[in-house]
Amino acid sequence: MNDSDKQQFEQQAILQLLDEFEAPPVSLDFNRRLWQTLEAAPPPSFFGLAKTWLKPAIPLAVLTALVVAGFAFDHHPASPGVTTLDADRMERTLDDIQLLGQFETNQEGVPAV
Amino acid sequence: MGSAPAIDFDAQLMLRVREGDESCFHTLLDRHRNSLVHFLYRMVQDAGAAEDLAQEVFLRIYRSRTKYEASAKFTTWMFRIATHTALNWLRDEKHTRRQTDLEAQREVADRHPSTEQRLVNGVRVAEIRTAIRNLPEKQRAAVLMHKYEGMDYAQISGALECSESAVKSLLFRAYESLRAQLAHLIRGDI
Repeated sequence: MNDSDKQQFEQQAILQLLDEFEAPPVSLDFNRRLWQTLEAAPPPSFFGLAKTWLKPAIPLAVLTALVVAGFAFDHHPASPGVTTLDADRMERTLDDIQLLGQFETNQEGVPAV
Repeated sequence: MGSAPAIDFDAQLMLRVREGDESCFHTLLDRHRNSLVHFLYRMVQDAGAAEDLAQEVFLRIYRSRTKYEASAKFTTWMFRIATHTALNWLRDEKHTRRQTDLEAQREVADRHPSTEQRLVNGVRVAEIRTAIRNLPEKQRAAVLMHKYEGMDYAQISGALECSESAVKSLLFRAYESLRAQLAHLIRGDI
């Protein structure tokens, strides 16, 4: 028998020898004792359970918030500033009003024929 | 085409326990009670303590049900908790002292053997127990999981939180040590 065979034989023998180390049977009241302890323990808190249930939703909520924020930032309404075009139009309108006013004044000042 | 890894039956049961199905915890308890108590018995070599520690392990499993995620085999997770629990117990000074007392009593008993202890088989088993007890704690846990629970290297490495190569090394050294201690039994000296 060479060294390798001898080692293999001894390993098998050790494994067989370990089979002889048996554990005693478990007590019949093992389950009952465990349930007694479990029933005596306080139930998990509502916040603990809620945290567990909500935990998987947190990344989704963060992602949704980022998407909404990005959308809002990209599509914000135009600021209510006054453009050059509006100012020109307003100026012309005021000029027209002034001209009409002068025209009406002149008409009132014209003596009837 | 890849598919999601299958969740083992025990992990499925545990996920149902997480959802509040207590009957599944009964099933898990019935499936693993004996192997867990036997593992702990061989680790601490005290029947009463082994049952107390097994109760503690199941309590921890039940209490952490809401945080359970089926990332590993259920038994790997269970034996990880069991190993931690046993190692803490063994490292506790009080228990070391108690174990030393038990050993002293056993030595006295060996000097005055009872009829039962005189039986050859009894002597052999006592020697095997001693050889296992003499192993360093991690080697002992690795051997017990490998030999009695039929766990593979990956599962043992998960339970002991070390690499597979570290497990192979632990097992090699443990079996070498057992072979040296029990060589006379292999040769049939008794």
